[in-house]
Amino acid sequence: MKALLYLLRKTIQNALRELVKKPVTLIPYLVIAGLLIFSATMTSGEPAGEVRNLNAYAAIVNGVFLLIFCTSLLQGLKQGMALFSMADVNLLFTAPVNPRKILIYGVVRQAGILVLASVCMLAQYPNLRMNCGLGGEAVAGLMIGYILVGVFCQLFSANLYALCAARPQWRKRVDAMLKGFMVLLAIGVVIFAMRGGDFVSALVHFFGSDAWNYVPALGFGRAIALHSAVGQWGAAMVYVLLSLLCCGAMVLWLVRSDADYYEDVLFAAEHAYNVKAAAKEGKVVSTGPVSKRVKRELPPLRGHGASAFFYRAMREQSRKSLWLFSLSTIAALAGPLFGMFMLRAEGPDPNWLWFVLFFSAYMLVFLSMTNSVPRELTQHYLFVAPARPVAKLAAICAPQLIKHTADTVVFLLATALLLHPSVPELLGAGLFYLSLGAVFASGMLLIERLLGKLKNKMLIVLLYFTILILLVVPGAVAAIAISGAFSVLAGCLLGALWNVLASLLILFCCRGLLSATA
Amino acid sequence: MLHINGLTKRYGKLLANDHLSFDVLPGRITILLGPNGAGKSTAIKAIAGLSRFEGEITIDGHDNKSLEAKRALGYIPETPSVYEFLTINEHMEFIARAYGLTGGWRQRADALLTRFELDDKRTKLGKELSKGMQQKVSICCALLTEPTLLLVDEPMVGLDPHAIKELKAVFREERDRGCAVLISTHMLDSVSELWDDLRILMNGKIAAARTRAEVDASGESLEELFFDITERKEVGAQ
Repeated sequence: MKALLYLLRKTIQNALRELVKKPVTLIPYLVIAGLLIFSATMTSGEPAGEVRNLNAYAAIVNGVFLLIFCTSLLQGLKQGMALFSMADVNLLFTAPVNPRKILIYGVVRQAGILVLASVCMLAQYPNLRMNCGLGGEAVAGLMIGYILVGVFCQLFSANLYALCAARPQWRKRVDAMLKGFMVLLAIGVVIFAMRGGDFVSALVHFFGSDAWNYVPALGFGRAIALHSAVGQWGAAMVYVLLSLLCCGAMVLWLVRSDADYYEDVLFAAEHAYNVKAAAKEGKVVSTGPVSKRVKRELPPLRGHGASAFFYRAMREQSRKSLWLFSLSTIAALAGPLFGMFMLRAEGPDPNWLWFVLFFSAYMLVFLSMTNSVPRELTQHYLFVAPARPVAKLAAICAPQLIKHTADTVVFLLATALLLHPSVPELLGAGLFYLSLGAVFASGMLLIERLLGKLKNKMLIVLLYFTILILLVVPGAVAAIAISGAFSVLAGCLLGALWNVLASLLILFCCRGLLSATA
Repeated sequence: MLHINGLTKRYGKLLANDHLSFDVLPGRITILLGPNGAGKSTAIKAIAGLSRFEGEITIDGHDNKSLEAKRALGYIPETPSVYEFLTINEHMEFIARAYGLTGGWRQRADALLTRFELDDKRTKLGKELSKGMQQKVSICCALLTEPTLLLVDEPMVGLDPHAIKELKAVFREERDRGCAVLISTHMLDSVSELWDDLRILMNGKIAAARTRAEVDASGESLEELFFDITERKEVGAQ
């Protein structure tokens, strides 16, 4: 145990020293901390008002925890525990240290990572204050609930993986049970919807129901968030204790069932190592297992010169089973869904369409980090192939634009079904959202052109967000002004025109990008 | 010494190791040769106690997953990976603590770091090291414990010529010290002058087992023997 404590102590000490020694690495952290503090203090001077929309808050917290639960279980079933690194595998697993002690070390380290991640929840402070009349206690409760649910999910998925690894026939059963659980959730919503009221009310009533407080770990996390939000810290502490008991039970199950968990960890550690190594080289690649259903025999590739890059990229995309439904599709759905909740809570708003558009765009900024353009730029073929640079750049951006077109269709359908806009509003919103795809794809090229030599990934991400915001904001401001003065359609058209012109200008400025791999 | 009896490893329907049985004796360097996908790394991971398997593996008479066996094992992995926020010195100290090493380890660590040209980089963090330097740290960590079984997976990948020369010398010294050395590789040139015993793996099975004396007596080179066995097998399979 002394060796493990030494490892933890030295890792933390050196990480902190490194931050102090290299102030440049501190910049992004300071900026993020500044943003968090700004967002936390922005509304602290205003009176919080009465507590409201508590049921909707409960439903959202419950939905987030359920999402964490389902995704970590599905991921865990596929890859095992993500508690350890390759260094742990190579140096710790082969050392004469009790595997159970190593497991406790992994859990403690994971809890530490979750504590750091939970700091981001500070950014929700203004939302909670403005929309629900909740204060700092709500954020504290949310952070505690998130950490406990996160640790529980990691341990539970590790147990399930170990169970399935030892008995392969169980994998299908557990998978079916998990999918059955999701179907049950859907049935629950339908039943609530049939009892009366609309779909949104059914969602809020079902996921916001106090009956969830009895669901171990998940419901306990929700109860911690809710009780602390209204200042009932005694009750919240009871649920903290219950959650800790659940985590303890999971550790006990893991330790008692089978301490030979190294193989279960190996794949996840190798996967994480490969992803990290790829990221260091500027790639954003998935090195996960390939689906058995993937089509291996396809007709010969098409295209010559620059267009060959387009067809090759499309061939690769066609082998991704869920290409047309990915993270960016979630962004397309997020705006209309959040708009629907907000409009119900706050009543009609003349600027609702812009709110929906910007929420989806905001989500897209975060979720488009994994788009294919930066990955294409790491392929040396692109630089050495004898074709015009602009044509090659256009060829690698085109698949991204096709994907974004599909996302726009999803955005339009969701907006039409959930928010019932007029035809001109819908048309304008669609065009504006479509043009955002061009800005984001060309923005990636600009980042490579301007920041390609930067090594600090955090700084790159920060500058990437800043550049995208600077690109979109002028057009958006003008669009809102025109929208108010004339019509929404005119505003959207102006915004879309700005986005397209900005994208073309970037493409022109970056035409030399392929002249030197450096 | 290492004793393997009926080592079988399956990944779903794929049989990666099929009833492997062999020993690695003290004071001998055994090489595990085979083309890509032959099952060498799978066998090495099983021996290192990193995977489940059918069969029996013992190190110095102890089950390979026991703490006694781990204390006797030195493992140099194919993919070197070190702790990002630990310095080279701290890696040495961590290994000393994990293996419960007592007096004398610091001098050994100093000597190893000097030998592998890491002494001026002792305070560098793991994340600041190149692949080759990480590999050198892995080697130093494995040798620090003075193992009785040294398990090495593709040892020369990423190393500079000086480190390769030193590593070969280390293998010989470990053998002379009485350590059993098992090296898995597909780079014949890198081990041609080192080995005492040879196992050639094909499709998860041992296709050939020879001692150096037998090969020398036949007049064949290691390369000729390897291609003769692996290509004949492939033709046979077709």
